Amino acid sequence: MKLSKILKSTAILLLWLVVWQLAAVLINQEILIPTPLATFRALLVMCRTGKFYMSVLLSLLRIIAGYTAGVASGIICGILSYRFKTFKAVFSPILQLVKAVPVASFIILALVWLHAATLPIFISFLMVLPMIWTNVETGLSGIDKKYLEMAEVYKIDKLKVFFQIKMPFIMPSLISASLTALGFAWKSGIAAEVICRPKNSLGNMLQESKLYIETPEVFALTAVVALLSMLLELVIRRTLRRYTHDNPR
Amino acid sequence: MITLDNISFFYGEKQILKDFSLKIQKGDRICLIGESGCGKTTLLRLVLGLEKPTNGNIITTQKLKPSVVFQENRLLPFKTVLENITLVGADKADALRHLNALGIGDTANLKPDKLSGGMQRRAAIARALSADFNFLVLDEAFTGLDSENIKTAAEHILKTAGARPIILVTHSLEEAELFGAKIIKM
Repeated sequence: MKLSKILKSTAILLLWLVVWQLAAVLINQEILIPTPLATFRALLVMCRTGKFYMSVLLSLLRIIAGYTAGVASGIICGILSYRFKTFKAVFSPILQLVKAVPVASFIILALVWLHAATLPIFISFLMVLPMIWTNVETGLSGIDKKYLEMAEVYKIDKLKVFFQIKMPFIMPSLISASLTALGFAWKSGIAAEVICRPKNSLGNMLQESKLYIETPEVFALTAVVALLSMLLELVIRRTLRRYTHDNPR
Repeated sequence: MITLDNISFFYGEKQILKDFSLKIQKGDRICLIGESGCGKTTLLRLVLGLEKPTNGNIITTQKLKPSVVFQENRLLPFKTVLENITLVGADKADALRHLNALGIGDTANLKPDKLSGGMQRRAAIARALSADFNFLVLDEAFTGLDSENIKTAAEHILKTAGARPIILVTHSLEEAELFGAKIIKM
């Protein structure tokens, strides 16, 4: 990153910290808006406890598990929908349903079926699945038939056509959908944790802080959630970048 | 080798080909000439197996292994020229030999978007020649090439094809002459 870019980002961050500080000073009620310093102090206090790290780790693992399962299943279902019309016809209503029903309804429903610790995994999975599914299916359907005809004339075997022609065509949009889905997985996973409160989870810590009206802690935890989300996106973006043909080899 | 026997073809309601017959044999060079929309490309698609005739039969005496230069280059944008060629089962050394013969040997490791239109056309020709084929189809293969490059490419195609038949579509009688082709007006 260039120095000017770093300076610009720092300046923007400082600007918003100043706005936050001004809002906190003007309102002057820590219960409504704590100052950045009070939030930072609350974060430092949390960082001294083992529970915090365990919660971060387990929340991350739950959401990554749900996200990974959602991406893998979405790719498989997208391919099956593209390849088999019957599969598409049978599962299309379920896909539409998952897209249309609010995440809170699913969380409440799933509370009846699942253990609190596995529910966030399921909810993250459910948010990611339709996004990847739709993206893969439309991506595959949108490939210019001329390239597939070329493969047909030269009798290139089907696996080669899939991995060397079709996948590279859909990779850029799949990567973009995967990154968008990651944000959804993270937000819905934490929301599920807030509602079902599994032991050792960021969602449970958020809920506890809210119950005890520890607003600086709520702010600090929210910042941690946002930072982790950005970090995870960065890692996944870097990992996936090598699979896109836009990347110079 | 290939016999088109009273072929008719419809795109929806529109008839593109009507009772068309043609015999393609070893060593043949056949040039299809005609106005746009008269069915030249459709005929090539039928021969390539990309379309089925509405009526009539295509009779072959041996398993067909076609190779083709399509009207468009159809080079995969995310693969290098060499990767595009080897994807169709071509040998790397063969691919490089054809690229060199067509004057674009130095483009082997470039992606198609780094090539000029004429270079992309020659890369598509190199791909067609590198594949394992027993008849060759050229659909306006020389579009965008200057006369010197057309002459070089035609000579190299003829040398490579040997006795394997070539069917070409072109608007230029000069190109047909370069191939010493039998002209069929459609």
